[in-house]
Amino acid sequence: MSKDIYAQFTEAARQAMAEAENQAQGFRHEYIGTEHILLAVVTAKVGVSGDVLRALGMTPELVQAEIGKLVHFGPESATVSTRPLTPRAKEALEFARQEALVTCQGFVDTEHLLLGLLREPEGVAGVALRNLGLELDRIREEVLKIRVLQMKIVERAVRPVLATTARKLKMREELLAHLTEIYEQERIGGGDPLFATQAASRRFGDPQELARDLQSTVPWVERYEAMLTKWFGWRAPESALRYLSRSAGQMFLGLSFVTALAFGSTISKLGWNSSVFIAMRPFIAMHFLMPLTFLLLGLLYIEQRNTWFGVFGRRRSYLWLLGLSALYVLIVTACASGLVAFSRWNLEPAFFGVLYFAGIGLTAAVGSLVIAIGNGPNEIRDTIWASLDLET
Amino acid sequence: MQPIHGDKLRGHLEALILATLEEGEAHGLEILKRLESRGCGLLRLKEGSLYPALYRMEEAGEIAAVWEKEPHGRRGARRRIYRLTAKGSRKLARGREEWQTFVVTLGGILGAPA
Repeated sequence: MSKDIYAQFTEAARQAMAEAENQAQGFRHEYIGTEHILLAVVTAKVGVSGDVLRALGMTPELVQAEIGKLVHFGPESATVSTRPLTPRAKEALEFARQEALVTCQGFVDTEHLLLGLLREPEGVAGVALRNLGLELDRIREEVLKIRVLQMKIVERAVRPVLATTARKLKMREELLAHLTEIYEQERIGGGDPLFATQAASRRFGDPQELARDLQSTVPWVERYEAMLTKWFGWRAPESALRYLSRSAGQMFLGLSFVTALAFGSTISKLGWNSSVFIAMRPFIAMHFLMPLTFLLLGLLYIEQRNTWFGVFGRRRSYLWLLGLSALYVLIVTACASGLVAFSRWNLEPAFFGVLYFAGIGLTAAVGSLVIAIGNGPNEIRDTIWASLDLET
Repeated sequence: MQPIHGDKLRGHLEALILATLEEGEAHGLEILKRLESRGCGLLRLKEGSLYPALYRMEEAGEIAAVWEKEPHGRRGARRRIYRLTAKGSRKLARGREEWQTFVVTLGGILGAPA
């Protein structure tokens, strides 16, 4: 059973979980909770998370004392062979998995364990840290600081490259893996984090030269594909709203051709009279409703994705997801009904079609969520990379 | 002996990489380690520039790569493991022949050391 829970964990992370079990034993608890995982992380000798916590003044004794104030020791008779995880601890591990997935598709390491704990502010670990005067966001920032520095070094070489996002993501992650490995080497050699980062950067090479070399490995067809995506696609670091509005605007302009063609052909068939307007109604409705629906549903997709993964400021919430899906259905139903009503200039057919449209809307809402779950990690990782501010 | 710098290397880098992969599959850093150990530490390469060479050869089908599935005691980011393909082996064999011809021809002109 424990093998399954700790799949995709690095050696260091597995050891931390074993230590967490030790800590639980120390408290004579029959479970492993977030507090035990925190103690394991703060006592870990290797790894960013231990370093960060100790730099912020957290010693194992301090943390242990604080936890002692929050939970009671277990009964004398407690003897359990393997301890189950508390629901909060399970959630924290799930968050840890997600952190590893969306930041680098890597394995879960001790830093992800700490990041996972920080996402449960109401867990014993979270409360203990806050009681000790730490802001959870500040700890998160510190843990990610070195990682962000490393990512910027890599991004300087990859951002100028014209290629598909899939290829660039592959380059970024592989180069980052290499950079972190030589960083670890420099650290073991006796440098502090900043020195090690600089040394690793020097060994890595000049980013502009690397960018040119990387570009030469991209097939020509892909370069044109990338240019097209740059024109029509998301231009980092613009917000989702801006990108979708721009796309909706482009769609509106594109549809003008369709509407103009329809107008032309209708005039030629019917001549200049009032029936032209009747024939044109569906096209006019489409012209306005399609970009609008695209914009709204696009925003909902982003919301679904961010809520599912709990990124970019959204908390994981099944309730919120339900609400979003309901909104999705509402919008699809309203737009479809509006299209029909405007085209027929009559509310009745729209009224009878409502259930039918709602069904389509529900299917689309579920489909959107499924796509968000599937594409999410790649999109999120690409967004994180492309949004890095290389000027600072 | 003078250290050999990256620019002189670049032309032959691909053949060198293929030769190191003959020993077995490896990720980027391991390839560099093998190159360095075989070249007695005289090869000075900017580490990042290994990857454009690897990507070029991957496009050409001379090597193949997969993301690693197990952590192997690593810190976190997963790496890609490269291996030689049949096409790569053929290219390596050709490269060796060319190198032999090169050495023999130039040796004939420049004269071998006493």
